[in-house]
Amino acid sequence: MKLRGSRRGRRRLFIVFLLVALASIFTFRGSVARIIEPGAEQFVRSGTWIYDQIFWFISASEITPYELNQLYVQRDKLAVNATEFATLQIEHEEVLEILHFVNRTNTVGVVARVLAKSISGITSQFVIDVGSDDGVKAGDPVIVGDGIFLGKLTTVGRSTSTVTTLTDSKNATAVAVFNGSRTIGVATGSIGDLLEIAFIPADEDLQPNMLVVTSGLESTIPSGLLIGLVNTVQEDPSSPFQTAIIEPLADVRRVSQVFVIPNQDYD
Amino acid sequence: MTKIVIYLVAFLALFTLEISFVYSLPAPLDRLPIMIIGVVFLYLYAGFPNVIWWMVFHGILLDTFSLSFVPLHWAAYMVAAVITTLASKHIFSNRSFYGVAATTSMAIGAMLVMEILLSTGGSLVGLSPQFSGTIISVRVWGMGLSIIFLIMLFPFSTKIKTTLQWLFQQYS
Repeated sequence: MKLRGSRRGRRRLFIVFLLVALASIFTFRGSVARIIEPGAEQFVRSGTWIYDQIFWFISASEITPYELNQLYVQRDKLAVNATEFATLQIEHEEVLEILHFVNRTNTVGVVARVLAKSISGITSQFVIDVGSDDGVKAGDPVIVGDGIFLGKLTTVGRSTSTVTTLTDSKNATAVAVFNGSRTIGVATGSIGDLLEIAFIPADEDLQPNMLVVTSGLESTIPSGLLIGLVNTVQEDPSSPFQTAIIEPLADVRRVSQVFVIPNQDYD
Repeated sequence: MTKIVIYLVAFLALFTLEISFVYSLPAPLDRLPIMIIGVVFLYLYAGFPNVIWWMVFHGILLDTFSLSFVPLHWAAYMVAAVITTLASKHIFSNRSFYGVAATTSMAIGAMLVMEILLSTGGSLVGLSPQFSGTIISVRVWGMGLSIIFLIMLFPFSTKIKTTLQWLFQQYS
């Protein structure tokens, strides 16, 4: 009986000791590391020396940390170069399209780079790197690609200008629909990326996918610049007018270079 | 007291040897389970029964330094210690090379089973990443290397045994 009791006591003591030892090891992990540090350092050095000197043929197929770092630097440079190349390729294609427009229409203008964009549900504007020093003024039309009308200059500084695009809620552009009667109207920014032409007489023939172009009724904007396609026609039986929803052909988000047609009066 | 200090210093030396020296060697030499070999050799061949606790403390220390989830190493080494004790008492009690090699292999095998079970369980409850076959490769290499190491160690085994026993008698 006494023996059993003493065994139980020893067991309890051992469990307590084990718990205390565990708690100490986890709490003083840093201390354990400090105790083994002097020997560990030498051991690691010896192991690494053996690795480098005796097993050199293994390391020949691997790379050193310095070489790895160099590869990372090289990778980053290649990534930057690839991005620059892709950007230049896009710009090149855009310039070619603009050049085609210039050759086709004999238009004189200024190629501009987009510096910043502000596109939201209400506003749609961007800043370009040409200004009054380059001969542009407020109201000048801005096109993209092979003659797709994008918007107008609204604020002109000496070296930069702000372009308000067709889809901006403050924008209004005189347009014409390519239907039998060449219906004219005023396109304004609508919800999101769409335009709308309101107050079109109900007897005008409007169908989806009809082309919409600039009408030439604005003195600074030439006629025939592409704007978009009729997406939907909204008719109200109680109203004498109908409304056309237009889907613009140009996507402002994807534009990086534009063409400004300055100082021309088309009246 | 001196005996405890000697045990502690010897344990820390073996622990440091494994985690600092062996782990710095190129693969597959870094898979040599020097602690298990040392403990089985001392326990079964040289007659130091208390060294079995080294395995348990080795597991605990590995858990404190390791990135894997606690108590993977502790439990694995605990099972290895239990298997070593049982095998040396009931199966390989003749202190031969084969007995030491077989006990070492059994201990490593038990560790492997425990690690697989814990890793699988841990990944099921989201404590550890999914079970990887690397564990099996590490332990299989460990078994092979430990046998090779014991083959190289055994010609000097009697000398090592007498030196250690003399050392303990001198200082305890």
